[in-house]
Amino acid sequence: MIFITCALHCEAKPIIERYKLAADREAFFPIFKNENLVLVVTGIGKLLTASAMAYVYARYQEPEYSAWLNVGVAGVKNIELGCLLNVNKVTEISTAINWYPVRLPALSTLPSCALITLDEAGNNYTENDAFDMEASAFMAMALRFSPVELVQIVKVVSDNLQNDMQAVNKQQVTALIAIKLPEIEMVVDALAAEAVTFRENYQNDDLYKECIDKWHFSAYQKKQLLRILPQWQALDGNAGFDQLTDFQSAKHVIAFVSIQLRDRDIYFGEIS
Amino acid sequence: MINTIYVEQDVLEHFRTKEILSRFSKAEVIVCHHYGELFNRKAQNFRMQKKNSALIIADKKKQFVLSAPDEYGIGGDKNYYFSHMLNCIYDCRYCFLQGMYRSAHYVLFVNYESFADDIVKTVNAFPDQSSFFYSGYDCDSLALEPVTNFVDFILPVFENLPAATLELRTKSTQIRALLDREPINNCVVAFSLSPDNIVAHLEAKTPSLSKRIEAMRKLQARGWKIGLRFDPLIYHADYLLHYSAMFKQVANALDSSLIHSISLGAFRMPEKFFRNMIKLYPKERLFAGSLEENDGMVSYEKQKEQEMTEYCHAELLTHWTDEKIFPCY
Repeated sequence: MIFITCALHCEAKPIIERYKLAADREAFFPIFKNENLVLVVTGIGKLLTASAMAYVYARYQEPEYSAWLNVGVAGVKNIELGCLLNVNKVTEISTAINWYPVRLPALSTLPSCALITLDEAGNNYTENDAFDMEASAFMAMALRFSPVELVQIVKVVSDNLQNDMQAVNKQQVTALIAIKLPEIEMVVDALAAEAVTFRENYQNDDLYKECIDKWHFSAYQKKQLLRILPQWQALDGNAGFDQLTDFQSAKHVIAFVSIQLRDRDIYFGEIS
Repeated sequence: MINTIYVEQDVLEHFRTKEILSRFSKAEVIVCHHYGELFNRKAQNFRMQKKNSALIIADKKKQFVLSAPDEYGIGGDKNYYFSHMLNCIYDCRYCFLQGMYRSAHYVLFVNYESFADDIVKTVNAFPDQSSFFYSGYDCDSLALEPVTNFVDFILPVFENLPAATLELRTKSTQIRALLDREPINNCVVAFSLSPDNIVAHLEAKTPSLSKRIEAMRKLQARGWKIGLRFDPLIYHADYLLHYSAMFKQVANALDSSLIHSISLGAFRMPEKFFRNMIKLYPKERLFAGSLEENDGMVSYEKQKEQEMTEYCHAELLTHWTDEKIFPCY
């Protein structure tokens, strides 16, 4: 699952349309979803962002390897309107805490920038930093749920030294995001690919689930099982549930698999 | 390939930073406050980062020279290590760094002079004792030499410290800096060696055994002292054949009388690091099987460990004399 956060509905609208996301009408935040994406319109500011992220995370029960993407508009002093920036550093101005979203190789063609999260809207632009009011909260929350490799921020420049933020209306924001949909899709695809790799590396497979369904494992035994089952499968191409079905209890299963590990030779290639 | 370089604000104008950045003109440079902001953060995955490690250029503030673990010695009265780099470009599955650090980014401390000052101070504190300084504990000593030029800097420091010996521990064939200068008597270039099958399966991105042997041969011909490090020994099917073939291959290629020292030790790991490594690589065969935990260390079952180390020690004795061999067990 990829969770997308936008502060405003006008930022979210092109993404909702592109991915044909349907409204979740029972939710307490404006949420739009399909099978693979959940988009939440958080509202402006850190508090609302953090609240909405915690809410969608709890509501959709995606405990591991979900990706997080923040999409929005931002002001940048000397960068032209409409440019999409992949954020490489987030600084919260009130605490001076920094976060560093990973620059994924798949996104290396996107221009990048540092971003400063303000507590209040402002246009005291510094050199090439972008400004918003949500990203620090987004990073702090996203990293509670997922590793940094699954967290990205993209901002489309909505105002700069020549174009004041007060002059930007909702329709313009929607148009700015819409024109950058191909790049946003690229980011979504890159995050999806990273999430697939995480799942391939770490997700429990059917054998674990079959064991948990058939026998009662204590919390400690589950930990043991999580460790030894992948190792058994790595060592023994025939490892499978059919070898376990006759056992009476979780204890017997763990004992059997442990013996399989202990007694099996490990091969690292033949002698040349 | 390094695509992203983080630089601590304080060393942005350091001459070594500028030299390094000029080598990576296409890399994206991101200024950070302190390397720990990236390196020590929770919620990052060492395994995923290893695919695309960034370089972090930083300034080390303290603890330049540290006492080496007890089992690390090769004959000196005092043993120390220092780490001008954290992490390594190679990806050896048995490496403790992946269990110790949260990040796979390479940290390079560019204030080499601070390391040199502390080394001199440490040597002068015990003028009557021989001391060994290991540089390849938290990194490979030579693998990033074309970028760091650390060897170029540190060898003249040791040239003036005859009571001290520097060990450069490596799997790398980046030996140009050593071949281009006169050898010094108190430096040992120690190569970590494993049989080809272990290199292929567990030492990703490293030079092959034959390339390491060729590098050692060139260094020995140039007059550098060579150390052989058979550590960790990996227990596996047919390990007897694999290790004895490797010992023979190494012995045949080098002048055995000019080998400085040989160490060997079986795979072992602090339990805490081992737990982290299993989480990173749950399907790794190396971590399955005959390992047990004793007093906070994970190692092979005693009998297997003893059998393997004794066998390898005996095999080594068919090529080298015992006074050069330092068991790490």
